[in-house]
Amino acid sequence: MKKFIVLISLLGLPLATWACAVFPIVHNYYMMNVINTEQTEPESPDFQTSLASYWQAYTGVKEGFFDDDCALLIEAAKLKKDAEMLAYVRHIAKYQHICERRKEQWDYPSKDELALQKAQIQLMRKAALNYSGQRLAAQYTLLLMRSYLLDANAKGILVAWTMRASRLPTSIYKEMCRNIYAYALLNSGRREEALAIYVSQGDAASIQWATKSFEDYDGIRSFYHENPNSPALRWLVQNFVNNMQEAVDDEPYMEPGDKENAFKREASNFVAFAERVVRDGKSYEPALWKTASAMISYLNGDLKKAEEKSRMAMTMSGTLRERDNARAIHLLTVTALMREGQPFDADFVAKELRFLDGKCNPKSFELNYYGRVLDRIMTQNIIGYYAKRHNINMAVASRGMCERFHSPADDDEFQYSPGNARYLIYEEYFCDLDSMTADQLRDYMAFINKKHYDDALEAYILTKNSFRDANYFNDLLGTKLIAEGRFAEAIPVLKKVPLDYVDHQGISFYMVRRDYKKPRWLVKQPVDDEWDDYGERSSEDIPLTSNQKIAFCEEMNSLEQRYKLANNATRSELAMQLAVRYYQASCYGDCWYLTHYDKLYGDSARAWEKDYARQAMAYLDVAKQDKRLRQEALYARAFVQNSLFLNGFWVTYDVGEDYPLTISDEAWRLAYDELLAYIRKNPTQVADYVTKCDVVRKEMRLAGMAYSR
Amino acid sequence: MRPKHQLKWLLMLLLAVGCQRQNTPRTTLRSAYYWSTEWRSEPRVMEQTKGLDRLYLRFFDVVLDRNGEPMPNATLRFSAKLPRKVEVVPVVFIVNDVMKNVKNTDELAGKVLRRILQICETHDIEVKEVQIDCDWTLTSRRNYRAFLSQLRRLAAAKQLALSATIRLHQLSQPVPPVDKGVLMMYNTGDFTDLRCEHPILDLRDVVPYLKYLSGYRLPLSPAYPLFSYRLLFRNGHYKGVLHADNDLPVLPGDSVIERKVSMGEVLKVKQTIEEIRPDLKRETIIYDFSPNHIANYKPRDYEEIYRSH
Repeated sequence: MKKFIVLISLLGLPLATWACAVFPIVHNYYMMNVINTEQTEPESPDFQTSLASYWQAYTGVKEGFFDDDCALLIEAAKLKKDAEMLAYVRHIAKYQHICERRKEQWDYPSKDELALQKAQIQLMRKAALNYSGQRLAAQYTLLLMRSYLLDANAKGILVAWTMRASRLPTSIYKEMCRNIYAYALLNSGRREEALAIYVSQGDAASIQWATKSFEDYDGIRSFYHENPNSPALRWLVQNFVNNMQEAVDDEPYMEPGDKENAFKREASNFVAFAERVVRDGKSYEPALWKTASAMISYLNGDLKKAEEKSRMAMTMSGTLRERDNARAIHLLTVTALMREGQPFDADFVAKELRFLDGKCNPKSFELNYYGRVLDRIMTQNIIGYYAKRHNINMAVASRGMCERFHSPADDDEFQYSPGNARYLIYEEYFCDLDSMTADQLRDYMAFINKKHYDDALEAYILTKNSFRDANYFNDLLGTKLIAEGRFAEAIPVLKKVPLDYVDHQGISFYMVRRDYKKPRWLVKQPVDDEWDDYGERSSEDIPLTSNQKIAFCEEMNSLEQRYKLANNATRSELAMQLAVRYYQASCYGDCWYLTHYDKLYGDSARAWEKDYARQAMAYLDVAKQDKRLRQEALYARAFVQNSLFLNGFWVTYDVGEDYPLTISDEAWRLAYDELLAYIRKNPTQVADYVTKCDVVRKEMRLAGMAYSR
Repeated sequence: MRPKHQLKWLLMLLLAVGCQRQNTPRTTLRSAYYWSTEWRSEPRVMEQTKGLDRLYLRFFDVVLDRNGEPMPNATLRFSAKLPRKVEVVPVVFIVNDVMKNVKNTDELAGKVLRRILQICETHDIEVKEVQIDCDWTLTSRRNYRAFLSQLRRLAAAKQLALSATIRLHQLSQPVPPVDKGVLMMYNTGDFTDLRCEHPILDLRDVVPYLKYLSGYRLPLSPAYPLFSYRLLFRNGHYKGVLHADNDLPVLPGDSVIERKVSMGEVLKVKQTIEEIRPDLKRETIIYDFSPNHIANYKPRDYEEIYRSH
């Protein structure tokens, strides 16, 4: 698949029409998680996946079962001549429709509609009560309970559960009935029983609803005083610690006065209380409380205490999930100590990372809890550890490993690559690679391909970060060498990259259409790089016949050699040619793809690369000494200085719109003054391209010069 | 001000306003609010409602949804028939945030009225008046007035009167563009203050506003409280209202304090304000007849308020 780059900068453009905007990865995932394994936000339990498998098997279709009044299910039942199922799914369609209409909305139902709803609910109930078959017994029981739910009839639900649903064999339908039963319990004042069900189902949204107003420290205490083993405590403790984490994570963005927020103030009270709960021995789950206490110590920066507490928590009683949670937080504390310079056991850290890794879901873009812990440990502690010690190779390799965790395993549909886009904030690995010098990258390439590792942690990270595509790295290295002006070195590296590989890069679209020999200040080379509604370019694909980067390097190499040997007669001409090429290949030029993979608004020379635009200015300074080239060189200098000041204000370039300019920079002003002085001195020799310049025209008018050509 | 001086001031005020008596109406309408999310067949409610002339029935609230758009919320569920002979005044409570942020007040007025009328049609309710309740502030006043003006125009086109609730402190503000106001004679004190023993109604809290009453150029009907609530205090600090036993965490050492309006206070206030504005005798409204509150009072309590003048 051809990977295009999108020439849109997130920094300068409104994204009103680009709803699917790019958001940076967050690495502040919640670390306390003893219920609700998959979600980062409180959600209802996922009954849909199991239901979907059932309907997939029945219809042979992958999705859309409940769309359009269950038309798909009704059609499938009709095709199969399955009257029993047809009757059931018709009720489901009606149930769905009623649920939709019961949502708060401005359009209130009419008398007829309400009467129809009432009749439909009664029919549902009657059908459910009269169903005597075996095959859909669970489904009809659920329908019965739903019919009571629509009437907010808690008593009906309680009876239906006791008499029917509780006797069903285990199934997704029984679980759904149980969830409705919990609702009835909650509305009958039996909150503890309801919470026990919600907790067992991981129904965080309902737990949150049932425990609202109890989410603070006082709420936790009151639940504990009533029942030290209340099922709600798992949620409340988890929620409290995660809120505390959020408060700490947000601290850098807070106003000074807001830093002492409520959570932080309550945290020390909570720690004392959690420790007392552990000592009292009334809770069956001391691991939960000890881990919570450890995590708050961690968040308060008391890493040693946090490590000690979490280590103890792992040995305490609790659910398996709670003990795993303690283990995950223990690794978080161990790696934080490691980052801060404490001695550590690399074998142990690698083993624990493998434990988390083993519990990740390799097939999904969504990280589960263990993946989220691993991400935080790697990002905050392990990358931090290597970065502090200036071990660039391991810091970057760790970043690559993290990014790999955010991507599913390679298959026919998805092949992982770090990409080449600086604007895609989630391509953090590429951003790290992009910030390396050519020599650092060469060293990194050798490092990740080494056969012997220094320790188990290095072995683990380098094995997990398995991306080694030689074409990718050689192309990147060759491009960096160009950007550093090391043309001769770049040629053999770029020659290792097959043309087909380059042709499949997004930049090939521009490469095949643009010429770096054309002076940017005299010739525009806009391309139609618009995308249509189907994600296709509106311009046709033209295959590359050669890698322009190689041709560019060969020519630059030759020109620079000749320039060094040039005499007065030839030097200025060569300087002009070099200036044209340097500018075109800079981040401001038309041929930016020679040194970059994307073009960003507000771009400028990267710290490690040769400043191509400044180099162009230096050569133009030479060229302007030549009488024959003076006018163009002065004009070009004003042009280049303009783009340096405007920092690559190119947005409207390819769509052919001009933008008005006003000189407001000193260097730019000097460049224009020099050009204007030339015009004043040689009014009859002014070239057409100069007369067309709106800035020149304006300046001439301001200077009171008659100007009519 | 010391209590002695307060009473002296009150006495002077009563004498002064005694000279400005307005026409006394011959009959008094018996009215009540029903502020709940479900109208159901509760025997006490049904019995008590039968004797009413007018029932102010909360239909729905208007809140901001996640996108910041006004949306109806907590719509009243009709689980029983309404008594036939009682005039129903639909009430819509609009949270102040809506009025602060609403972009198109005309559109909102249209939506609110359409929904009220649809609810009435669906449930066979004949109406002559609709009412808006909003605890507006200075920042929302402009929008609120624009909203009421448009709603009044639309309501008038349907031969409907528009009324609005008036809180005591709003008496000092310009009169809203409505046909009638209901003066809320409750929640006069600061219920979050442990020292405030009569937050529901205390004549001393009412007195400072009485000077605006006679000059307030809007027909008014007073609404008096007959309810109680339980408040939770921890270390002397207010923690919340306990609507049910497990609403809030209650810890050892906490104080749960019931604040109940005293019948004597209601009668005293009623007499005081009716002296100032005899037209207030036209209608007596009690807040409220919802099952939670009505269970705590006897029929004779309601009767006493309706009968007293």
